Amino acid sequence: MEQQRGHKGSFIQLIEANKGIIHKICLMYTSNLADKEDLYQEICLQLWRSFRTYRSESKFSTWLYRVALNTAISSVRKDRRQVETVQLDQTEHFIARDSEREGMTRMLFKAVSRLNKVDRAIILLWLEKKEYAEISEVMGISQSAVSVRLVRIRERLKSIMKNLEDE
Amino acid sequence: MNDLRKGWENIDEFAGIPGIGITSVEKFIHGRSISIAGKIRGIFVRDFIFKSLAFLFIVLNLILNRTDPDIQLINAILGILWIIFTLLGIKFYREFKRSADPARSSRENLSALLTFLTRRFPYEAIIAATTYICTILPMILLYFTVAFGYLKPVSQQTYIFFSFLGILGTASGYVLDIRSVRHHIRHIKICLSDLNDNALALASQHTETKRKMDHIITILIQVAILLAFLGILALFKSFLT
Repeated sequence: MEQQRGHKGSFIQLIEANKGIIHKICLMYTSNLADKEDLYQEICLQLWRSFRTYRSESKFSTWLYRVALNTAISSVRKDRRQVETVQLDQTEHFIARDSEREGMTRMLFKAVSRLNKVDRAIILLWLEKKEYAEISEVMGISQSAVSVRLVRIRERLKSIMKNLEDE
Repeated sequence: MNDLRKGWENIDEFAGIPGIGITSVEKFIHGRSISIAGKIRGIFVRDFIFKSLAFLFIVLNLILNRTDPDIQLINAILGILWIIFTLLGIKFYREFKRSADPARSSRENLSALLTFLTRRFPYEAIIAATTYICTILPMILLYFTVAFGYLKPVSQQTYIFFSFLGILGTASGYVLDIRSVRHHIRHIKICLSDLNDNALALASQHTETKRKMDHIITILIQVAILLAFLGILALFKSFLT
């Protein structure tokens, strides 16, 4: 019982320390506050289930990204009729109050939300400054495939953002 | 491209995440799941709950009707079926847990889930559907025993009604489970194809090689279950008329 409590305590510390990452993943994969909370809960649940069997075989961050991204990719929304776009108004309260930077962040989210779920995971890891080797380990594709995919995704993002600027 | 990373860094300026505290995390780890794996786990849990009910009804029947050898025989057969289906259910649940491990790479995770859902889940759906028979038959027997103090003889009409109820429940349970999973399979296939064309091709090839054999086994199991069910119903009818 005491061991279980200690286990839970260290898990909660882990979530606290990484809430920023989990939060970013949720933002990238959901379109509204309710879905975001559902996904946050789901990621916590899956991390908790996997935490008991985590044996430091892989880097801690790799494990965390694997569980969180796999959960986000394989999550099914409660209401499938909703359109899959990020509703940026809901991110207003935590984005820096600097119109230029805010605009950039908004546009980035808008562009990313137009990518498929797998590309969102790859670009998120790249934006988080992860090495190709780690992205490859998380996604299960070769490093050369990561490199090729990233070139394509960045090109696509550039073109989406250009279109958004023009709009 | 540095602009993208700069834009991303702005998000790090979150002062805190609203509504997510230690209490919420504690609540979350006991919450309900929305992932595909969570939905499939839900089907297993539901089946285990019904299996527990079936077990309870069978045991109560064996206790309350211990002087009636015919009812003992029906419940003994149901009990044997229950043991076989429960063991198979546990086996498939273990396989599912291995397949649904999210701590693997996305490609491995999706491929394993796809393989489980296309190859193994149809068996689990049959097993979950047959739980209905194992629950409804002893429940009817128990109802008669408790309501009338003895097993009331059934008319031809009642017999047809119960048979229809059993077959309808089993068939609709199977169809509903298979249909609910079809959407998940499509979702996983899209993700795998987005991840890497080869990944989907490999998973499809692996699935296809086993599909024909699995199809034959599925039909054989269905026929065996149907025969067992009809046999039990025939026994049921001959004892109660």
